[in-house]
Amino acid sequence: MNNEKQLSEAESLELITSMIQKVKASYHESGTSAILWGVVVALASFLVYASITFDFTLPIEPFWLVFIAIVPQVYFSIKENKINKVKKLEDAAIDTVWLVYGLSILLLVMYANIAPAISEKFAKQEGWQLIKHYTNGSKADEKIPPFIPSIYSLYILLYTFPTMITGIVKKFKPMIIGGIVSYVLFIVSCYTTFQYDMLIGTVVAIICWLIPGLILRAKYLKQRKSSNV
Amino acid sequence: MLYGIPTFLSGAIMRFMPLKVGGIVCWFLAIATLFITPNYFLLLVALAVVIAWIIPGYLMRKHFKNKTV
Repeated sequence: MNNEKQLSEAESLELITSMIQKVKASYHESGTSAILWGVVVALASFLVYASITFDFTLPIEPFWLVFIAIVPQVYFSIKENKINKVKKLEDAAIDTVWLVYGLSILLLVMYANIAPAISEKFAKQEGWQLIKHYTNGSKADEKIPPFIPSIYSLYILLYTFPTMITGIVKKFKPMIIGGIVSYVLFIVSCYTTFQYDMLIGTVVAIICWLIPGLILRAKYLKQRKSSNV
Repeated sequence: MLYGIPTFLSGAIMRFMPLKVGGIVCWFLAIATLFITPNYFLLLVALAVVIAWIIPGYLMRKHFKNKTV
């Protein structure tokens, strides 16, 4: 009935070690996802900040880069699922956190694009509109569409959440520190203009993703090297 | 949208379907708020609370009581 080979103590230990090594090589633990998100969001935020500061027009919307980053993330996740059949419960939970984060970013993009237009429609129905009025009378009043104040602050708040959870679950200090600093920067961004919100977004992407990602990557490569020796 | 995040995550981690459904319903209600006037926002919040927390809470309580008996 039972065709399974009985493993010796040494073989069992070797099997457990190899399973742990496989699990440790996950997409999040190798730092790939953090580096990818860090580079893409930092670059996109900085390009917007530079275009406002130095008054030039970008040929494409830089935040499309964020969507481009989702493609390799999905690819790596599928590839990793095929290679690693063994998955810790905490890794499955972290995967769900990043999935929910991606979904929330999409919903926030929807909100930022739809809400002003719909608000304008409701305002029209009620018979009023927003007017920009210069209190010193330097310019004539102009009609403006409804807008969401400091919308990028909401993105900064959302950027922090998967990092904070990953850091706490994995007990990885650089991510916890990055998360705390990013929460402080979120509060700062509530007091700054859109232009500087973009600069803060760049700093947040570097602190909460890129730096912890590079530390994770270095650890992962060191671990892989030592396990191959 | 923020109500949906912890609800869905708790459902996924605990493998408890009513919480997962509650989280997803919250996200649909978040999209619905874009298309209605602010007068109805609180009505949707009440609906979200019932679907995401109160109903799963009662189901969990029932599940817990059945287990302990």
